[in-house]
Amino acid sequence: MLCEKCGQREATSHFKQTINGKTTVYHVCAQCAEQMGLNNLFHGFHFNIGDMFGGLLGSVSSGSAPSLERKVCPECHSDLKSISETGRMGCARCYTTFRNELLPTIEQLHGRVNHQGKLPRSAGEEARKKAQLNSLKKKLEEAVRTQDFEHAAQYRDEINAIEKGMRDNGEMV
Amino acid sequence: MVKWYEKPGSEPDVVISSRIRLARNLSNYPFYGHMTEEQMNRLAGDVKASLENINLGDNSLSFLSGDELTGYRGMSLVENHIVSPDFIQDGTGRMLVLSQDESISIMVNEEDHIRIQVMTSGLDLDSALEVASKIDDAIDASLNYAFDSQLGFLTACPSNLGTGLRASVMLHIPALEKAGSLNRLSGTLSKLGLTMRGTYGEGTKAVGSLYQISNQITLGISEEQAIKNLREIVSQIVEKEREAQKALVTSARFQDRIYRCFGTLKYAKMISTEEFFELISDFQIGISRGILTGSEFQRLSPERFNCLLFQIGGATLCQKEGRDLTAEERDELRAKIVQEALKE
Repeated sequence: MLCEKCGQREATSHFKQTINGKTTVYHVCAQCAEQMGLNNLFHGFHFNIGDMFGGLLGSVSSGSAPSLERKVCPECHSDLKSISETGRMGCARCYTTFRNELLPTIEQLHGRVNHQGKLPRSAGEEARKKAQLNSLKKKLEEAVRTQDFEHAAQYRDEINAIEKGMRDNGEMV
Repeated sequence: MVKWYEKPGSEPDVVISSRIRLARNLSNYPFYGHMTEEQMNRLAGDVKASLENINLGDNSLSFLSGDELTGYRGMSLVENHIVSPDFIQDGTGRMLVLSQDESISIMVNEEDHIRIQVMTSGLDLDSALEVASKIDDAIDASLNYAFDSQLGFLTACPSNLGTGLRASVMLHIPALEKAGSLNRLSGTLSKLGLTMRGTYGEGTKAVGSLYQISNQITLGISEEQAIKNLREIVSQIVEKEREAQKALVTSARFQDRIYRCFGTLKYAKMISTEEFFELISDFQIGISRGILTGSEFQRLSPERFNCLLFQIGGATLCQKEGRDLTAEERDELRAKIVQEALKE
């Protein structure tokens, strides 16, 4: 059998990859296997959900109005077509430019479209404090539930200190 | 310095390693693939400067240019999951930040501007996240991350939006695999927002019965919650695997198989990667479940063999010797390394 990738050399390496029960088979020559990173032990980096994303977005954008396809990101000049082909954004601004077009697909991928978790400095001090408070309140609830009163007292003190600091700065708590 | 995989970890009979990866981008550069080489070099310089004063004890960071990661040196990093195969394909404008014990690696200008990765041996996602967060905070203190209050950290691929966190655990689950339980397990996992991957291998089996389980969803779920979900599921799988192993070793034929694996591992003069994985997997069951009795086995522990996984890859052997080895030379060296581990 000839290599599926180059179609020139004999396929000497045969790989089966199973992801969540779906199996893909590759028959490739040694050189192409090396290029594809298939001859290393753990080629976990290879599975890329981005390819799937492109497919999902493609099915959405193909039905969209022609005017959408002419919309271009002012920062990096990507359009919806190039994004759905590569499954990758051109820059951070693409998310603002194409937000409405992207949201349904993002929801399909994650099930949710509201960030939970860590905030960077660029999110602003107030937002970070609020997120910290929410996280501490959840920990407090959990500590009370499991009757871990030592940690509960510690979380309560931390919450009080942050809330006091916010009030002193005239911020809403 | 002792490498991360040489340190003992928890649940070593089933869990090989834990890994945390954070995907980050800077707001003042376009994403990878849309940058000029000059921008890529400037970005790498920014990241380097932001990490220059971080205190990681004696586990200090080295900064390697992408152009240095060629040949077996680059391939060895791929074998041990330090960088992606794509990363070494084209080193232009790229930088790898690597800690002394290799537990911390940061790919700069991969698919995302910054990919922070921390590995620990055994099941220990929490301390991996702690270290990754420390590095994340150091970069955040001087550079501006691309962030959106609704979508979280902005990543080149929308599958990483939100926390940008991918937590994964590498498991050795031969008994569940032999019992035919993995199809059902992976179906259940995908309903829980987790994904299971085998590495390539013969048939539908992963080589060496090694599987990686990781979170699929990154948006709308906090770092702590994602890790908690993964840890809870993994703990259940660990218990199930142990039960299945106990049942497996009651068979006289399987006990015979364990001793045969031992015989080959101890006396073979050449061992290919493929054979190594086949032999070590069943041999590990024998060690973990106390099947191999006698004084020569007393000091053997699963940890000792888990760390072999990171030492026997073809390119890693070349890296160790500092030259390109033929396939024969690699198989000989591999056999020697295994025998050293059995002897000590």
